[in-house]
Amino acid sequence: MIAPPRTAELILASLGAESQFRDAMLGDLAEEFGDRAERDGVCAARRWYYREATRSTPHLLRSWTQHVERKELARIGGVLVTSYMIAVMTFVFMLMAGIAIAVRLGMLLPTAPIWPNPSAFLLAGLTLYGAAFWTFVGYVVAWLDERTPLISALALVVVLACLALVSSGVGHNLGPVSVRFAASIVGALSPMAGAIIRIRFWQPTPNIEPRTVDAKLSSS
Amino acid sequence: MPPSLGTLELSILLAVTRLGNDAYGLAVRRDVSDRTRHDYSVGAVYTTLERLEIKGFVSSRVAASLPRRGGRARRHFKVTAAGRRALSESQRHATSIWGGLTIFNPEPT
Repeated sequence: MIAPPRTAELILASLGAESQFRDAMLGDLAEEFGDRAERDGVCAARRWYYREATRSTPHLLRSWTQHVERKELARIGGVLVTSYMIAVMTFVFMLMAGIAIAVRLGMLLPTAPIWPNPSAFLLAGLTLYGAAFWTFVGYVVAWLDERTPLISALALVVVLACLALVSSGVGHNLGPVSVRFAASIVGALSPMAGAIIRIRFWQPTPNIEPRTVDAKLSSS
Repeated sequence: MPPSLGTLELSILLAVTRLGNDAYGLAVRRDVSDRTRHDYSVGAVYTTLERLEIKGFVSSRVAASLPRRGGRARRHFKVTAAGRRALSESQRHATSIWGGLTIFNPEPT
């Protein structure tokens, strides 16, 4: 039997939908994928799966928002803050280690002021550095959040996108608005890349207890 | 007072009734898509089924897991008494508002 695309399946599973809803939906997608792979070929079935996964994502997110509780939001907030602190500490350590190695090797550090007119090279470097940093934060977020890794990463993206919108209007010394905006968007989307790298090694766990609606109906 | 059923809710409730014991997500989606000639996403069908369950119009049970579903179980749906009443009300309402129109041929554009 041909299995559906694993990454797409894990992305759908990590969106925090109620476990019964999630498993029934993923099961249906897998069953239809198998039928289509036999009938139309694996490539066509994969295309269908990706398209269907994209179309179903808003519904899974809506299922999560309908069942989410305040303590769950607090937990995600805690995950974001913890991840940020872990990433900052890691990157500060790496920066200090890099400087120490450079000094040890006798490399010259720039003495001329790099502000207020940074070169395009420096801007590109900063963007790459930012993207690497936020990708790492996204990875840590997904690693810390075993229940809903992509929801936490999405929350981080929303926070970063808001900051990007604000910051693209300021910092005129950092180049044209379009460049600053593009750099901000790259930074904002990086956590998703990190989270997707992480969830490839992730095993979905039931996130919410089975609902009581069935029992209520069956007893009536 | 007509029951609060949207078009997709009505289509899905009818499909669950029609399919009987075979009414699980994929079968319902195929039935509805064939009849309405609209390719509804799996997510849309499940969201609607969940809404119908919350309204008390369908109940569900989880069957045994199957290898071809990646080891996941099918979730079978059944129309409840409230669901049947809602369908009956909906049909009566539709008949009532269509009353008096024996022929309806829209002008070709």
